[in-house]
Amino acid sequence: MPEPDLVKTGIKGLDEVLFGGFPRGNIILVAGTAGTGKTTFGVEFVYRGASQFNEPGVIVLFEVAPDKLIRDAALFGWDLRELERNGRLKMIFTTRQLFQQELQQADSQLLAEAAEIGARRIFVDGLVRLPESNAGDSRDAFHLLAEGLHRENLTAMLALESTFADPAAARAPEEFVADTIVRLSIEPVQRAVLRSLEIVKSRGHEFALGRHTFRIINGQGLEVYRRVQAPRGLLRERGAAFDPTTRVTTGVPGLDELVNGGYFVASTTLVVGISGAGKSVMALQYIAEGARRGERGLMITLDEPPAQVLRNAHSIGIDLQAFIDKGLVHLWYEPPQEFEIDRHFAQIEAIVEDFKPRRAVIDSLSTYGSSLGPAERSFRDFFHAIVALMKEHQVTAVYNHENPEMLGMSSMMGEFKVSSLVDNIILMNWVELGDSFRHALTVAKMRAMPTSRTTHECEIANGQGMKVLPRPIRAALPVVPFAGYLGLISRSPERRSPPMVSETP
Amino acid sequence: MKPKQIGDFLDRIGCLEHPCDLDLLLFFYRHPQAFLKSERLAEYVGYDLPQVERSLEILMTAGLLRQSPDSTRPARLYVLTRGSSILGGWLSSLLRIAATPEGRLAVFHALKQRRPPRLSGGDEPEPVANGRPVPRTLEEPHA
Repeated sequence: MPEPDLVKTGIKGLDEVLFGGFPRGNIILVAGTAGTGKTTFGVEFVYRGASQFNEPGVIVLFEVAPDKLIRDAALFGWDLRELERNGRLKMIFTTRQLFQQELQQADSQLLAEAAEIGARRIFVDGLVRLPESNAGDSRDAFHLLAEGLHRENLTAMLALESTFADPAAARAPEEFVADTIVRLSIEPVQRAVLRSLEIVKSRGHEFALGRHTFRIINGQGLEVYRRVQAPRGLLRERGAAFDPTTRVTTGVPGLDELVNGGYFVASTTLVVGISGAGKSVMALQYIAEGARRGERGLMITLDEPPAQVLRNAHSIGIDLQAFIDKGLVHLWYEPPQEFEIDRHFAQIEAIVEDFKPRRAVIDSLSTYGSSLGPAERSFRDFFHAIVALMKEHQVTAVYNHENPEMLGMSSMMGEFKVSSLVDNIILMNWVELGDSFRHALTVAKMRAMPTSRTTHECEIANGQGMKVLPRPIRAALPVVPFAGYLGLISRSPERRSPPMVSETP
Repeated sequence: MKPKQIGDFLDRIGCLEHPCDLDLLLFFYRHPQAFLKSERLAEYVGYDLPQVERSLEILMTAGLLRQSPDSTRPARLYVLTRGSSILGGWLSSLLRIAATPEGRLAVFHALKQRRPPRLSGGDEPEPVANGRPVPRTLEEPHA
């Protein structure tokens, strides 16, 4: 099968969504209401082509004066004037009617201008839709325009103003003629707004379906964040480790013995417990243990800013800053307000790919749930995606999860129904004995490894961190078979009295 | 900017005589490559068509502007030749001054002071804005 000739947009994140770029020569319709970023999108397409891919371009404007466009582009660091001076860009101001007429001329002056600089891309800003009653005329006119551009083998991007917020109502005759349709939208989310982009159709290649988030960033331009749910490469799906011997040590004295020497490489461990049960302490010890062994560790914190994490680490005798300075630990904090989950995931993905951690801690999963809604599909999709990402990169990941129950637990993850994705589960509990709450730890699940599911007492000592205390009394207690209890299934077991045995002489 | 400095710029540029000359230049400064009919240009700058055509001719003769050669088409491609070595940065400086309403009025005033307006067929061309005569203040600004 021949490889398609794709035109890279150069827009950060977009070429991944397009699986490489737009097919050369496609007529690309960029539709959206006012303020959705159509002009920036089109100008960046031409700018990147001229400045990065040796593809000169033309920008045709009907309403925006070129000097304003030059000024606005400068905010993104794009020097359009310089490109013009170097003969790599032309910006032509005209009217819609003249532009339409010109493209139907065999010796179009506009296209001659494009040819003069060897233009390969063209962006036409500000096409407008004819009223519904003229839909036939509009389709025909657009068809003629598309033919004119196709004749010149230009990859053309046309910004189409839409006055409809509802995409279904915005079906335009132009959309049937265009090869590619990119729909830009801006929608309210709570009291914030979210920009998104959707490739509605694109002839001649595959692309990632669905709505992907994007931002317009000063000093850079557009940045597209592929939708979290979109499948990544096959590599990620096949990324689960098959290493039955290597163990990743926990850094908590006494815990490794309970987890058969450590977690499997690339496994997913959930540490569940109420606030204050010691989850973050365990996380710090896990990361510090890796750093002491020369293994890079990534710590993603949503609840506590870096200074606070450093202070917490210091209080248990860990100089996290020193590990950060040595490049062994990457501490990444993002406050959870107004999460843009596609962007957040893209950032984690970039860090994992660049920093190449062997260990990772996410503190905490419940904060994602609070932001995204624990029962929402987006939370589960995000968790699926991050587990797959870590497995692909062979990162042994620990996720903290706050369970709101103070004493005991009636469920491991409450509303968060994702425990089937998890390899190991460690429950951290308070146990009330006398007038004190004491720390208890139970290894509740270890996929592909034996576990005793016994509860152990833990201790967090100032300046030393957490350790799991030995169970010297264990041997003293007899292991009573199930037959020795009543009410096992009803979760209130009682010891059964020894059966009365009548002895007959 | 003092009137004398504006006058110096006008002397160095040489060709500007009428407010329409300046307004057209300002238009092309903002739209360095424009593919338009002259009627549309007249609408954009707000002068009558004969005046716009005269001013276009002056700008092209002075080498400040070039247009596509095909006269059979109703529209022409106009390109501002801002890189002209003859004019250097004088033109840019003047246009930067004239880019503000106050600066534009100051340049108009300087034009009026500098020489009598061009005559065409015995009538002084009257600038119009959107089909109406330009307010008197444009002609005699309080500089």
